[in-house]
Amino acid sequence: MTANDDLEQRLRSAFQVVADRTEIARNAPRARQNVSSDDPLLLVLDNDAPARATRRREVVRVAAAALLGAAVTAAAFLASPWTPDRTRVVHAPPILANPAGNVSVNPEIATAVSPRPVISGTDFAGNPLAGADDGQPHVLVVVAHWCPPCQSAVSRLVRLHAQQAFDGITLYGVVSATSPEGDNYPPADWLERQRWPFSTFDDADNRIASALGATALPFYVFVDANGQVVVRLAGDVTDAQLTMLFKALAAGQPLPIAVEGWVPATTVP
Amino acid sequence: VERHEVVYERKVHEGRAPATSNRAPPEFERLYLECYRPSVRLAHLLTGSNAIAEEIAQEAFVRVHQRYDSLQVPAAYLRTVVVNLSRSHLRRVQRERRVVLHRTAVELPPEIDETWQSVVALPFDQRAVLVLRYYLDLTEAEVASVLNCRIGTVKSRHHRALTKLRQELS
Repeated sequence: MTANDDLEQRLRSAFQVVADRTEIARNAPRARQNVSSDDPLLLVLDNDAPARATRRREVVRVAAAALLGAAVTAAAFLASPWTPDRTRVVHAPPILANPAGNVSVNPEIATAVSPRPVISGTDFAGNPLAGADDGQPHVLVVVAHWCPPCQSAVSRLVRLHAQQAFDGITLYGVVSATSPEGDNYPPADWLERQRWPFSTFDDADNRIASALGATALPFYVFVDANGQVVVRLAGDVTDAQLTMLFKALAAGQPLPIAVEGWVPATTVP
Repeated sequence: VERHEVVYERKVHEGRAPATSNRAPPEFERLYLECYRPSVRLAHLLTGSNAIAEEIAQEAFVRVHQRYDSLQVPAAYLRTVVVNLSRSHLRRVQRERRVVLHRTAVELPPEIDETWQSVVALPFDQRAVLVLRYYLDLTEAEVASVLNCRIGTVKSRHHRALTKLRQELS
C-alpha cells in the first residue's frame, strides 16, 4: 500500500466516523432502513416513503408561526403611545427576516412616530454621512441586497433619477439586513453595478431600518421640509405612484395621496 | 400640512420558511425525509461544526423548496447548496473574527481525531475537495461541478491538501 493509499484510507475512516457520530436532533426525519446508496445525497427516492411525520412537523411549525405573529402584534399594539392629535397607524408586526430565516424583533419600532428620528451612520467606505437635516424634503429608501422587490426598486429609482423625477428632493439609500449568503453580496458592489447615484447608509445591523420603523422591504420614508415623516410605505411601488408622491413632496402638498392599488394597513383615526 | 403616518402593506418579502407559505409537494417531503440527515453530516464534515450543521441543512432545504419545481435533480442541487452555505458560514465567522472554525464536539478515537483536526485546519476549498472525494466518493469532474471550478483546480487543491496532511500527520 502506498503512502497515498494509506492517507486516503485514513481520510475515509475519519470522515465516516465523524459523520456517524454527528449529533442530529432526535425528531429529525429518518430515512427508511432498507434504502441504501453509495452517495447518501443521491438516494433513489422510494415512492412509498411515509411522509406523515413531515406533515405533523409542518402543522406544528405553522401553528408556532401564527402564535408568534399574534403575540408580536399584541405587544406592538399595547406598546404604542396614543397620540390623539394626529392620525395613528397600528402597523404590521415589526419583524425583519433575512434569508437565513433569522428574525429580529425590535419593540422600539412600534413607538416610532413623527418627527423623523435622528439617524446617523456611515457609507460603505466608512465615511460619516450627514443625516439629511438641511430642511429639504427627502426620501429614505430601505433595501436589502438579497430581496427581489428591493432589486427591482433599485432599478426603478435609478431609472427615475435619470428621468429627473427627484427635482427638489434628496434621496438616501439605507442598505439593511446584509447577509453574505444572499444574492448580490457585497451590497456596495451591487449598487455600483446598478449605477446607484444616491448617498447610502451602510445599515448592516438594521439599526436605521428599525429606527425608521421598517416592517417590510423595500421601505420608503417620506420626510417634508419641516423634518416630519409624512408617509411611510412598504412593498413594490410603481413608477407612476412614486413620481406622484415625489412631486407632491417637493411641492409641499399634503400626503398621502390616494393612489390606486394601495391599501393602507389598519388605520386608527 | 395635514400630517398622517400611514404604513402601506402591499407585499411582504417572501424569503420565509417554506412550510408556512404553502404545502410542500410530496416529492419534496420524500427528499427531506431521505436526505436531511445525510445533509447534516455533510455540513458537519465541511464546517467542522456539529452545532451549525443542522442550521445549514435546514436552510439548504428552504433554498431547494423555493425553486423545487425548476430543479432537474433536486438532490444534486441540495448537495451544492449545502457546500455553498458551509463556505458562506465560514467566511462570515472569519470576517466577524469570532472563531476561525468550531472544533467538533463529538468524541473521537485518538488517531481519527488527529486526522480530523488536521482536515479541519485546511482551507475550506481544500477540505471540501477531500470530503466530496472521500466521503461522498464523487469523481473529480463531479467535485468540479459541485464547487463550480475546473477539474484542474480540483486536482491542485487535492494535491495541496494531501501534501499538507502528510506533513501534519507524519
